[in-house]
Amino acid sequence: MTETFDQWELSARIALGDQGIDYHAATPPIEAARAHCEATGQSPREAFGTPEEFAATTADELPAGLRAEVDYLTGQLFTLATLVLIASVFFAVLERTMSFPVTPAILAGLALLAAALMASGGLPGALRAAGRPRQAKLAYVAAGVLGLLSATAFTTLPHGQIARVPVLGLVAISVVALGLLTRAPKPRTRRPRQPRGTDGDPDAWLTRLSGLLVGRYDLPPERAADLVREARAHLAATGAAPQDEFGSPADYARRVAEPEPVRRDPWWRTPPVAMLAWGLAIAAGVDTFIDWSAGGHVWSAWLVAVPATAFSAGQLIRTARTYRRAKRVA
Amino acid sequence: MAGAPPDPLAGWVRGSLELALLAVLADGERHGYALAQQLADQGLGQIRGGVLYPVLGKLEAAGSVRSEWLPGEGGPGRKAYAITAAGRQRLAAERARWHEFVDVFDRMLAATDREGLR
Repeated sequence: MTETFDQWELSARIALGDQGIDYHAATPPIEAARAHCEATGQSPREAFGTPEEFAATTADELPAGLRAEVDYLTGQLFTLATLVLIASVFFAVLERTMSFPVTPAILAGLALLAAALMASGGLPGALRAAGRPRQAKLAYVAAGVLGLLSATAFTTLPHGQIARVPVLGLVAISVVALGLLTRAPKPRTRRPRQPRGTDGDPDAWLTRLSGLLVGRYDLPPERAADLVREARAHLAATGAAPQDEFGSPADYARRVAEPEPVRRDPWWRTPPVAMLAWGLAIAAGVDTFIDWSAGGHVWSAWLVAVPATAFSAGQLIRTARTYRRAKRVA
Repeated sequence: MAGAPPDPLAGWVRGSLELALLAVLADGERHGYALAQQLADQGLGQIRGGVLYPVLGKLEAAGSVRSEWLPGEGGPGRKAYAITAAGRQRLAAERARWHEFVDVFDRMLAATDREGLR
């Protein structure tokens, strides 16, 4: 199957986000790539390589000021608002209703589920990009606890209706949230704030460097420790302040990580975990198909559950092929 | 009002730092700070750690240099860099290209010199 520009663009935007380039900063290079492909007839992969290669080259060429701290949390809120919008309309049509019942179980369960999704989806990436890889692991523990609490709330809290929420209200809130989240940022007049403690304190500077090398640039911890040890030895030999000798930890981490040949993805970005997730999505798709077919929702079973399951199967095959190819090369 | 133009040396050195480091390492292994000092002694100005180590990392990733940690006396130890056989080959090839490059530049600048005298 031929990959369209839009499919490539989605992966490229995610990869650009991983490089600290937010949605608005990513738009000009994406549009330039689109214009190139339209003019030459080349596919984006032929012209610019994988989305990750494109993101790395683009990040290298952008001025440092445009590489903001990665805004994973905004991205996660955007996903959440989109999910609420689609789910509200879909279930309103499915149940032929203009309002949903609210029960203590649903209210608490959904709130906890949303918190669990935030903790597992956006928070680990945000913490790694901010140079705090250890705290990213805690975010998964928090997500697990929230997920369990959510399941407990759904099953044990009272199911008596306490109110009804209009579908149009949910749609309006989602649309307003999406509008606010995609607003172009105001031009910054202040310099970006320096993380506390890194100014003039060599140990804080080196700790921050280590966190950025592991968290933002996925260097194996032992290699990051090697680079930090070398910077420490250099500072001891020169007696200079780290900021004077190396610049900011963020800039130095980017420059020194750039030629590093070995990167180690966190476990949740590894192909086996992705394959497991797509496998679970297939199982959920099949279960939903059976459930909806039995409940008389035949159109939604065939028009929603089947395409979603087929998409998950396609992604599973694609991930498995890429993984096999990568293993063969290694 | 624009002041005096900045000294272009730093930019030239940054552009040719890989070759300069290979040339210094051809004399024997050195740690990062000693490399920076050697380049400064040769008249290439002060090379900051923020510029030096990413270039050494690039050379190491390309297989032109290798490194090993040497124990320090009470300090954090030092990482010594040494040129590899591939690095020596690269140095020889780039040295020839560098002479050609300098010849071209000399001819070009000599021409502008003559035009200035006219």
